[in-house]
Amino acid sequence: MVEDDKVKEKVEHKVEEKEEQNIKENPAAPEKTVEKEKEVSRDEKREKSSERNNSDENKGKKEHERKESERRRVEEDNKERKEKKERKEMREKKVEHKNHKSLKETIRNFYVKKYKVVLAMSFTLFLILFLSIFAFNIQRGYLLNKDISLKGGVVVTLPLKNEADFNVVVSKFRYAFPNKDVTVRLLGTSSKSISVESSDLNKTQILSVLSQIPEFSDVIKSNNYTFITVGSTLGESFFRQTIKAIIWSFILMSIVVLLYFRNFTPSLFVAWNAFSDLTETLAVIVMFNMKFSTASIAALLMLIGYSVDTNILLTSRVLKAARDKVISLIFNSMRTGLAMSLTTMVTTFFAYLVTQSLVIRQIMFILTVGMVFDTINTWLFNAPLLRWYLENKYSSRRK
Amino acid sequence: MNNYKIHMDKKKWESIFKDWRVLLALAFLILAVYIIYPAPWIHGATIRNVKPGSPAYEAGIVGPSPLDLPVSKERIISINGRPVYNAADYYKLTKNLIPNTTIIIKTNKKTYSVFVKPKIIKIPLNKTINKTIVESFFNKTLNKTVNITKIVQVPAYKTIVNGTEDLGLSVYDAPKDNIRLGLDLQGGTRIILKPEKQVPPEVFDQIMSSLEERLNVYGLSDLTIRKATDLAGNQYVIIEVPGSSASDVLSLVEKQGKFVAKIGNETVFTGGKDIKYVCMSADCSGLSQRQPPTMTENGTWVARFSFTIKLSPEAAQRQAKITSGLSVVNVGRESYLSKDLDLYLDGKKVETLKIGADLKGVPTTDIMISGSGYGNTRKEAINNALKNMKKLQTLLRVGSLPVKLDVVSQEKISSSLSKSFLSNSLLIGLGAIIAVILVLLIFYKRWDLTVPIIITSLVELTITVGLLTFMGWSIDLSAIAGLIASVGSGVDQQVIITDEVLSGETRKAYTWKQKLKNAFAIITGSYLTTLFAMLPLLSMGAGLLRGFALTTIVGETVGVLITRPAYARVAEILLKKD
Repeated sequence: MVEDDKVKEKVEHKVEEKEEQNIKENPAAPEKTVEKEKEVSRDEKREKSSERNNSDENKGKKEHERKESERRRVEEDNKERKEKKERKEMREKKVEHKNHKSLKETIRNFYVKKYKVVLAMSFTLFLILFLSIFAFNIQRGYLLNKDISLKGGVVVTLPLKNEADFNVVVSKFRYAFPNKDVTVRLLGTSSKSISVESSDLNKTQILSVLSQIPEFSDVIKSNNYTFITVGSTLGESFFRQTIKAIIWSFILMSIVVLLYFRNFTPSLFVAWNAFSDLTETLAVIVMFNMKFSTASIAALLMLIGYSVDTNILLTSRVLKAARDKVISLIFNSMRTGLAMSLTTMVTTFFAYLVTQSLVIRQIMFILTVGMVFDTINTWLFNAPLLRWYLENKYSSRRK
Repeated sequence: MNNYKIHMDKKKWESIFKDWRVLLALAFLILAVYIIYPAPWIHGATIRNVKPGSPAYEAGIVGPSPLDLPVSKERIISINGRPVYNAADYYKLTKNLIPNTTIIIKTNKKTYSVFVKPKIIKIPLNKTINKTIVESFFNKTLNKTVNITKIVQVPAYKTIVNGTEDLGLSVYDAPKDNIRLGLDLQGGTRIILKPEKQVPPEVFDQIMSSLEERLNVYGLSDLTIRKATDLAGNQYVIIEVPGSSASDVLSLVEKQGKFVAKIGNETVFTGGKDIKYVCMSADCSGLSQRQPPTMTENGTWVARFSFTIKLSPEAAQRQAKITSGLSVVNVGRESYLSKDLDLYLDGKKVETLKIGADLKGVPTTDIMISGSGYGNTRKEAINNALKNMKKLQTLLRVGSLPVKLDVVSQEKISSSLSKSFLSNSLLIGLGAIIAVILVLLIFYKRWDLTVPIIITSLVELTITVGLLTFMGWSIDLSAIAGLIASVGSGVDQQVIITDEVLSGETRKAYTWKQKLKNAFAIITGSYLTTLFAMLPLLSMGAGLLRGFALTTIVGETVGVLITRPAYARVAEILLKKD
């Protein structure tokens, strides 16, 4: 075991060096070599010039002078060697100093060396979120704040011109139906609309409250409002199928991954990753008591598909690689993967901010949060786990 | 990684446009643009529905089929020589028409002469006049129908012309491309029905066709009606009618429409097969002439309607048999049979008709059906009476549904909200593109890599939308979410290709073929997982999220099969050192 660890450290060190040259393309590296070359040429020049001096000045006392010059040269050489050493030490110190200073390097070193700690950290995050789901469930008495698409009810949406009316509507509903489930929402950025959602009230009850406000009475009269009513049986049957759909989706995805890699353990990692993405996103939905709808389910299924992408990228690049290339390939994949996740996140977050539609809003929120967790899980959980797995595999193979 | 630049020269351009993968993608692009057919120059008012029996209907204008591509639908371009640029123009030009004139409606296909009917209002005078009517009877001994001329007293009316009758057309702004917009992007009504109990597939088909027929009789042709089953095996019928009000549609589809006429407990005839003909034209259907609208005791109005139907010979014989056993009762001057003819709709008695004594044992095929409508004002009562008449006529003509349908969900999207949804979606699309460009620029710090990725994604988007249009699917909000998602993963996959190509450059042993093979292995894996993850969504929840699932699947498939290979080839040509 002790030997093993030593070997591992050596390998890591080697890999680090290589990686610095290969992947990061640290701009300092080529500069260093150029500097060295310059130094060498400077030394040569100095040597040449001193030689010339010797021969010019002391022609008579050649013997003595030569000895003298030789002594001086040795001295000079020593001096220069000393200086060089000092300079080198200085430079090394500088590098060390730099290492201390740059946060990026520190994180990088930590990520490379303490990968098991990283793994433990991300797993702790998962556990906390996973347990929080149960905690909220016990505290509230229900798990998901289902919207009308999953439990039945009415949504009435009207264009809103005067934003001050929003608060009026909220207070009117609170006054008229104090103990009923009514949600009033403000939607949109440039042109706003107001939506009233309730699983307890019917359409006429909602309209009667809304038509008390002058801005809405004409709209309601001219039949120019939007509404959705969903029967409670339909909603409930939707919800029952939700779980079915997610489980099916998960199973199908896992089968594809298994067939794709033909290797059980890494496939399990990928599936676990999708599972924790789902769980953690769900935890956020539960934590903020957000409305959960059929659109949310669509987004969660989409998340299963999306979250697997970066893991497939990582696993397929790393799995068959030589041992000394694993870390460099992880970083390689991370760059690509982060570019992928970031484009997705930026797009979904923008859509979340701008959209007027509840459907798109719910989908985009889940995708954005899900992608954040996916980034954490892929690079802080799956990548270290994969490394651990590969290290074990290599060492067992050696034995 | 960033140490080589792209030098574009003629040779590279040539090799790009000579590659079959690039050409294939371009061919699909052109085809997609042709299908989408963006035509900003198109204007006019596209015909959505034509009311049967209306002046427009009689002039030969027919409503579009939902299968027609939006641009190819018939659209009105001028009325009486005045140009029509949009729906508002149409309504403005047809607002103040002169009755009893003919107007020329010119569409992009034909020119119609539409006779503008006067709207006639009958005002009852408080007296009666004699009227000669002809009644047909079936004479048993002669074994043929004979006509008897009778003089009856009817209330006198004064008729006045009050404006013109509605032309019977509903129109909307002519679409400027073939993309079918979903209900939430163009406004309309969606109703989800569920059969009371599970039915076999052939019965389900029968339900579908009778529903469709009912709506068509009502003049709603621009609608989609589809069946859906969910994971639990529940059956649903989803009806989507653009630009129409929910209550109209609902009143037509909600009823099972089981129409039964009974004398006592014996069934005389039922709606559908027993009825040969239902009169829907003005000469034998309309407001009752015998009983004008009257005010009831509690201040509301009641209006009566009547129309004639023709029974099948079997039903007529049945009636003769049942009535022959009845006795004649005299009420005042009139004599009736001892039992009434009761009309039931879905098990509820809607009307009781007295049977004239002269019909005893006579197998008559002509029956006058009557009913009524109520309202707070006289006008409302008349409108309701006419509405009820239309509904009853429709149900009699089409017949009943094999099972009762429950309305499980209804949804109405106003056109103003849908318009703002549409512009909002375009904003999201534009913002998403800019966001992706920014992220790619941050990562690659190079325009020459960012631009091809963006162009490829736009091509992919166009092909996907073209394909969806070609398949007759519409773009709704959830489809837009699907498009964003699929284009998003498209960009991801192109990033994979680009990175694989760039990173592999340092390793000499790594050939281009291997690099692309690696990239495509990853892409295929991610494609397949997304595909299979989305599959359950296709059938879940009455197919309401089908738009999202389908769009994602089509989008990603287009990406993997068409645009990704083309992009890989372009990337190879661009980045390969000479």
